[in-house]
Amino acid sequence: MNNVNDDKLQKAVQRLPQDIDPGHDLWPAIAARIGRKQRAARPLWAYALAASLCVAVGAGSLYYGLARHAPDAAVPVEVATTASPGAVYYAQRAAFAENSVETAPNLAPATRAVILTNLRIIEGSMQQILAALEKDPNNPRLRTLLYDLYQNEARLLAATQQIQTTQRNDL
Amino acid sequence: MESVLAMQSPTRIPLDTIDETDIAARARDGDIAAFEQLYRRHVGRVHAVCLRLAGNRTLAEECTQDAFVRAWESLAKFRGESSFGTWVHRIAVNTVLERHRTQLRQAAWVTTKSDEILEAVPAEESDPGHGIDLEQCIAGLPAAARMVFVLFDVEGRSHEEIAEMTGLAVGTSKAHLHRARRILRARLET
Repeated sequence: MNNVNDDKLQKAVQRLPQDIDPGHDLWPAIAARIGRKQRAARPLWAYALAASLCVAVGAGSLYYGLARHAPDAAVPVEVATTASPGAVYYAQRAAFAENSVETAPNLAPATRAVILTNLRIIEGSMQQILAALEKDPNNPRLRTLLYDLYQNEARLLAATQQIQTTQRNDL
Repeated sequence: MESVLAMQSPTRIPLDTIDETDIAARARDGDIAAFEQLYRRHVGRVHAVCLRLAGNRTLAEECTQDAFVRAWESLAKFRGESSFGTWVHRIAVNTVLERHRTQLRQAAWVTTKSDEILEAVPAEESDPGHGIDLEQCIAGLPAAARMVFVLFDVEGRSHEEIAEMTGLAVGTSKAHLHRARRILRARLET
């Protein structure tokens, strides 16, 4: 009896169709999800790049504006930054952030390069603002700019983490 | 039981008409229209395996969607060593298995208490004159037995491969297959 039924079962399995279309077209939903992910991914970079460039330009203008009117305008930025008690901390912090991106697994080379470029723009802007704060420690605009830069840096590193997680979850 | 009957789509594109490697390359470059062509070619096969593994049309459609979205996101990793169809089929199987991970963990032990009930339930005559609908019988199997049966008897995987994919032991996989066949045989007798 079992053999007869095994044969019946085998034949039934062989007759199963290879293709079964879904009850309705799934493509619109798939296309929408792909589109959403593309939109979500692209502004991350656009935002990071635009924000860091914006802050860099703003910080640069502000710094040079302040430096031009300051009595010791001839003092190079590097001297002022090095003289800051926090300079070593900020340099190590920047190196750590860069290193975390450079050694992050599962990042495509082009993606890594974009992240590093953005990170360096942000870090360059931070250095300029820190130098300006050396001369004008209580300037609220400088402090706001520095705060914005920290936030941009955090968002960029979080985005890096998100991209890594997404790529790790793929096959 | 939820119907698992096939519905034919008029948009199917014959598999041999266009060079698939070229379409996959265009999709990899971000061409969504090219990816849609790949979807149209393979959705039937992908949905079939999702439906049989999931045993539920709603979940199968979700898994089919997930599989294609994951394929799109992973296209950079598709080297063309296997066909796109094989590759996306593997993604689909993994997608369904991930959804059933908890059930598979619980199925580490084969329980047969409810099998007598399952064997006794008559299958619905979905296609009068052509016997019972095996698709519906498969859908009615316990989750782990269904997955092992589909992977082994329908998809042609070995028990070792199934063990690797599902996390079940090889012996457990064999036991689930035996159980699934026994239930299906009983249903075919009715």
